[in-house]
Amino acid sequence: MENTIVMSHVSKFYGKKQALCDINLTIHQGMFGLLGRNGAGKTTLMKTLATLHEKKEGEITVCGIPIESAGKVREITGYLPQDFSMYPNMSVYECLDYLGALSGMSAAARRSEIDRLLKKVNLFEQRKKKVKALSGGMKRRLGIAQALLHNPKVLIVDEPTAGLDPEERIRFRNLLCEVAEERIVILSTHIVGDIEATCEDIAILNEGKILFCGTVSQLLTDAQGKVYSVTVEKKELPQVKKNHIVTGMLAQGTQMRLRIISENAPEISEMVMEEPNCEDAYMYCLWKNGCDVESVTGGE
Amino acid sequence: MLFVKELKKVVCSVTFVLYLAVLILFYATQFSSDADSIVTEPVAGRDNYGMTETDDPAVIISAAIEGLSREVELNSYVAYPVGFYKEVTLTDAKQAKMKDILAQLKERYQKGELSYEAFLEYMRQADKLIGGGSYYSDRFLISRFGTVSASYEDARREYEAFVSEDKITGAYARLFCDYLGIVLGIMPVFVAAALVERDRKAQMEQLVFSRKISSAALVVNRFLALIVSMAVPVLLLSIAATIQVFGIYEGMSLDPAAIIGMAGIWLMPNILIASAVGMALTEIYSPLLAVFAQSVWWIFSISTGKLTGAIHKFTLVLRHNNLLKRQIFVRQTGDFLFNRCFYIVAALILVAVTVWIYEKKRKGGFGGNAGFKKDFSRKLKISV
Repeated sequence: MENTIVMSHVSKFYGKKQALCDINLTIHQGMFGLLGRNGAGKTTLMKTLATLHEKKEGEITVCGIPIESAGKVREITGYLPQDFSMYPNMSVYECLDYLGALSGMSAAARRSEIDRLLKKVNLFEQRKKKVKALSGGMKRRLGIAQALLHNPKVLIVDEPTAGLDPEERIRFRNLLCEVAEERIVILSTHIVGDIEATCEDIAILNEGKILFCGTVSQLLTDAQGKVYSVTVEKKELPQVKKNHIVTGMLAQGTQMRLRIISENAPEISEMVMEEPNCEDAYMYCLWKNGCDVESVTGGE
Repeated sequence: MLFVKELKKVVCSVTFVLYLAVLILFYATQFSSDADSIVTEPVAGRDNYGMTETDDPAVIISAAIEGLSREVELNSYVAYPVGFYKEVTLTDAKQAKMKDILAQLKERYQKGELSYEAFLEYMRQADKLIGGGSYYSDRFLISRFGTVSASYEDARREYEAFVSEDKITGAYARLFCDYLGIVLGIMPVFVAAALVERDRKAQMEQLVFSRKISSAALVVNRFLALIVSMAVPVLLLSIAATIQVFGIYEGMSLDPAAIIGMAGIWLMPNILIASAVGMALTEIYSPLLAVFAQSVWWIFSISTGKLTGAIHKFTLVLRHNNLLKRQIFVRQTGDFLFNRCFYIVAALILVAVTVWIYEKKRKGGFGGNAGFKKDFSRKLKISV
């Protein structure tokens, strides 16, 4: 069975509102990042892949299985939703044992796999602890453990690092990279840093449409020669914001050091062309596709 | 095994402890105290042997005509149309028709031309004019107009039926089920609603939805866990009741399986239907709707005012609060069996409906994991 997810002309509506619009994506083994603003349709797409939403149009196959065969797709898919918890009065072990039973695992398989996964996510010492006593980071790690419990071929994680402190975020990202060695991992997030640190292949989603699909290098290449550092007087700031996308600001006395994105070299004397980072490239992609980024950067 | 895990979830919940507490309390304060009053053999020569019901047409016809005459005169008719007491005043036209019915009844009765079948037809017409649920309906006719003072022979007959036909425990079985049926008409809905709501409350729905297990297997396992967890305490109490009755009637011939058997036939459908309502309505909308709907139904059912012989085709809470009066129960056996079978089938249909709803929710229908409530609110906003 091929380790690929193929989406072809997928659309989804909520009433009259179109949440996904003609999505075409092919996702191979390894980490795949789905980037987009809040409300871009990432969660809808994640849920559709996890068989928790039905598409209106198009075709989806998960490792060769049509998405309509929900039972078979669920068998090979692990899902970590954006907002989740578990029975607060159950222990970590009991929760995983229960979810393992729902996945059709035998008691022996559950015993060995739960211990192995709890060690992997560094929760083995907490296995008898009640879920309600876990920290946010621990709950996220428990979440990834439950999603991996039945050894799925596909792991879908929706905004997994939201609300985590930097240390937990790094730990979580590394964990995802580890598990992606042998399966497809789809990471949905609005945090560009998470994508930059973990994914090679990405897609950018906005208002239900795919704006970009390719590698991080390709995204960065697109933004090459469009990012500049400029130093301007503070009073000039509104004018700069009006003409360019400002992605960084640093006050230096009466002056401002700005990082801007511009299609053409800005006509500012103290200007240096910069290497784009992922965040710049993402903003450039949105801007190039006519998205309203001025509201983000504070432009008029 | 999933069933055991669901069972553990049920019995470790606060609502189950509450269920257990109410059940035991009801058993101890109602059945157990009643059971201590021993039924003794009647002694000849007493003035009073209580009341008894007769199906003698002469007694019923005479009393019914007298009762109807009284109500026609006052134009005030007592009825329990949906379980609650109601005084009905007829319009002039209907009152005229009622007077006509009464006149015909009296005339044919006095001439000796009134058959019991014709009398029953008049009663049905009178009940229809009142709006149903009156004393002249099939439901109340005998208990209202067939009650007479019992003779020594009547008391003797009752006692002999108690000893030889009911084998004592048979009578106690009805009393046991009468009391516990009240609790089991309402309490299972709380336990079932809490179990279903638990996934939503714990934000665990999406984790459960995305698992391999089929909706049918999950819902059926949960339903069975509810039924078994709530039936076991009933079974244990029925054993306790049997031991208690054996202690009271030491040395007499008793049927050891009567209470346990009757509890299975009488009480299981109550647990089934209340649990099924709890699961279905909680999945469709919310636990509050489930509890509200079951409570309204339960209140209507127990408010008929009848304590003995309240056994009809669709009554939720069956009543026979009497150690004697076996003949009334026997007369209603057909309705009793129909009733219990009906609720078993209804419960199974509701479980099937729950499976269907659950499957829809897993694929985003009924508001997905946000529930029908959210979906409904969203649709409302769109339409506004």
